[in-house]
Order: sequence, then structure tokens, then C-alpha cells
Amino acid sequence: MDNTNWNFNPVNQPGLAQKPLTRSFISGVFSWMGIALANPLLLLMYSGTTWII
Amino acid sequence: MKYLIRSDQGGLSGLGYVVMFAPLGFVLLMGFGFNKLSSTALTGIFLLYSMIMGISLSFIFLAYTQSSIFQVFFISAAMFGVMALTGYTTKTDLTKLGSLMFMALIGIIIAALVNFFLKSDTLSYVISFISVIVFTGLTAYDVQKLKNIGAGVEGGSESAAKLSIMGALTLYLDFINLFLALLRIFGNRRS
Repeated sequence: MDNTNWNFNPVNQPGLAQKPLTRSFISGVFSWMGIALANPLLLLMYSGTTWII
Repeated sequence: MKYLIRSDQGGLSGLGYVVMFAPLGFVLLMGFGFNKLSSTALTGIFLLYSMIMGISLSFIFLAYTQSSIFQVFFISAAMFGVMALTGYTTKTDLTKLGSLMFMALIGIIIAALVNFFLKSDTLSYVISFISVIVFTGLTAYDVQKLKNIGAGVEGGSESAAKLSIMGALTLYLDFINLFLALLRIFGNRRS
């Protein structure tokens, strides 16, 4: 059964507009971790001609 | 790339550190400044964020071969497209799936932090595999949510403009995370 509320209006829902922010923030942190922690931080181990990634 | 890495001693240059930490700063700024900033300012920050993210992503060319990056990019784009279409057209309410995926996302962030110290290849592979499931699910959920929000807000209003930017950011991050997870699984690392 389709329970989707097609008349949903976030403007009339106090606090609901903040929810996408939490998600964006968490996803943003994860993508940052994926790039900055998983790859470039290991670039700090860069030595001469060898990349340890 | 030569501006991001110090060629003499190795490691990152000053600009390299800026590029490395700026994406986190922009995400914080957009999150905390959502209610205070105008939609124009948010658009500007989003554009800057995506630019810095692009530069930051250039590091993957050092870790993976060019051909594998292209292949994974097309796989990610196809998966993202299919899931976005599914989210847009399905009549099933994906709210429960979204909550479940969000909890799983928190879980993999904690696991990724733990693995940063453990350095386990197996755990890294498991995290990447779960990330693919999580972000494909979140893509469908986000598209359905945005469709519902779009049907509810008044077009052209300030709140509609702000919500559309946050929607774009959410979907953009879904794609980036899906791409990075697939790259960790299928990408050919440079030896």
C-alpha cells in the first residue's frame, strides 16, 4: 500500500527542514573520510618514488 | 597535483592541507548556516564545495589506474541512475528503508574510524561492500523524499530554493560515496 503523503509540506513542519542537514552532514563526513582519511592521509607516508595507498 | 604535494620531502603542501580539510569545513558551514544563510550564499558554498571536492578527488588518480576510475565512474553513474529512477517511480514508501540505511551509515562510519587504527583489509572490504548497499538505498530514498518535498513546497520561494540546494547536496554526496565505495572494491590500484 502506498503510504506516501503527497501533500507533505516541510515548511509547515517545524524541525523537519533540519533533517536533510543531518543526513548531508553525516554523508559529507563519510565522503571526507573516504577521500581524506583513506587516501590522502596515507600520502603523508609518501617516500621517494613509492606510494603507499 | 604538483601544488598539493611537496615534491622535495613528500607529504602534503599547505594548499594540499587546505584541499584536504576544506570539504569538511564546507559541510559544517552548510549544516550550521542553513537557517542563517540566504539561498544565493548556500548555492555559492555548494559550488565552492563541489570544486574543492573535485580537487580533493584528484588524489584517487594517484592511487588507482585511469582506466579503472573511468570504468567505476560509469558503473556508479548507471547504478545511481537506476536507483534514482526507482526512487522516483516506486509506489512503495521508502521511509523505513531510509531510516535503516541511515543507521547502517552511522555504523559504517564508526567501523571506518576503528579500521583507521586496525588497518584491516578484510574490514575495509566489508565496509566498502556495505557502503554500496547503503548508498544505493539512500539514493532511492532521497529521490522519493525530494519528490515529496517538491510536491509540497511553493515553487520560487526562499525555503524551496534552500531545500533544493540541500537536496542537490544530499544526492551529490550519495553519488560520491557510492563511487568511492565501488572504487575501493573494483578499482585497480597502482603498484
